[in-house]
Amino acid sequence: MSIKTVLPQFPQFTVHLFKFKNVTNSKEIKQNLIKGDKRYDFSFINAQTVLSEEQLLSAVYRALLDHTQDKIRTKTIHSEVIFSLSPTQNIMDALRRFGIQDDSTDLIVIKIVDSNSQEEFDLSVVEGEEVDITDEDLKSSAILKTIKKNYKLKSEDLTVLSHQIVAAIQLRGL
Amino acid sequence: MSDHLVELAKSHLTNIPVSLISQGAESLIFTTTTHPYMETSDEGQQYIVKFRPPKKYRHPQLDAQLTKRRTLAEARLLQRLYGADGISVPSIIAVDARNGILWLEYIGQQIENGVSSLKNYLWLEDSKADYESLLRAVGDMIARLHQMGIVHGDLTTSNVMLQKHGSQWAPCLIDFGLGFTSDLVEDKAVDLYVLERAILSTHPVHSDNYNSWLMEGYKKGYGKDQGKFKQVMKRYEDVRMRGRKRSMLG
Ligand SMILES: Nc1ncnc2c1ncn2[C@@H]1O[C@H](COP(=O)(O)O)[C@@H](O)[C@H]1O
Repeated sequence: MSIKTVLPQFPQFTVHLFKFKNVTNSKEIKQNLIKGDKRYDFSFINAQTVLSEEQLLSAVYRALLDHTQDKIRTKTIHSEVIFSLSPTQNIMDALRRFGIQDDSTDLIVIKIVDSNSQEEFDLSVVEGEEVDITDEDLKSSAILKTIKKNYKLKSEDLTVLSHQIVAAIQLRGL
Repeated sequence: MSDHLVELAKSHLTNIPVSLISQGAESLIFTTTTHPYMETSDEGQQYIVKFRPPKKYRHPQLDAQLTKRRTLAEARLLQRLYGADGISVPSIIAVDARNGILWLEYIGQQIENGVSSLKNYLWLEDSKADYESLLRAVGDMIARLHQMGIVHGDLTTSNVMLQKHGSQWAPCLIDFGLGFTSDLVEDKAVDLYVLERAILSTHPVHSDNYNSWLMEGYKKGYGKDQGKFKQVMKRYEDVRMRGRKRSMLG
């Protein structure tokens, strides 16, 4: 199942999280994303770079906080979520590391909508199998080596690692 | 008196029900059972929200800068320490530096006489058997902190919290609001002296024992680096002397 959540401090937004495996059209998604096609207004995240739900939601929190304080650095809330996953200030680097790649097969897709509008969105742009998005599912597609390298961390304990990632996300560029 | 500060904190914490548990010169400490972004799974799980309110007497812009800087300084110390070998500190949950807000893991639990701080624990007659190993563990952790070039700045027995690991209590250092990075032996010696005084004032009867266990742990925490330990000890004696002279002068 996907996750639908409202962060208490930001009731005006509803956050949807999905996970897909065996995605076959990542290259096409990326091209349309770059063109700015409105149907692709989602955060498309390379699932290999994500260890936990806590990591994802912590980045969403950071993006919403910066958005409501007029401090976002990228064009949309959806690109900001990807930038928020990054421990560094380099936007291009963040999108390259954490965003969808031409050959991505495991994707996390996030959609943030206005809680008041009954805004519909269409996920059929992703050709793949939707799967659950629990910590266990996230761990199964995570590549620890990449994650540790991205955040320059080395803990063997996954709970500690996840908390260290949260700190890096919360403190980026401040 | 603090009501308006509590209201101000709440205005930055929409939909987060908070209860004030402590108020210092620098910050207000709240607990909440609402996580800022995770759906809470454990009933009764608590989180700490630390709020540094604006100071009226400072220029607003300068004040905003200082608040942000202090909030980040504390968060960065915790970031460096969390997960380090032999050190235990609360993990960071969220940071709203522009509003002076830091969300932290809640440390400790209720014991017979309040929260499980070292201060309260040392009052419990029944737990005497644990004191030696516990105080050694505290000393060891402070040594590791100092070896990382970090000074706590406010080492009281309330700022050493105890957490249950299985059947054993283990220390966890909280409140790095006055913490800073330093490699000066003076700063480390003063850090130790502050803790010694705190133990003396809250637990005068056995304080000699307590402090010697603490020091033994501190020595051990330096591992092979006994040279560094000796430098701090030497300065520590000077700091004690100065302290004594000061109290003689009244
Ligand atoms: N992370 C924490 N977990 C549990 N209690 C805390 C935590 N941080 C602060 N406190 C409590 O709040 C008091 C004042 O905090 P502080 O102003 O940070 O010294 C401490 O003495 C503790 O009782």
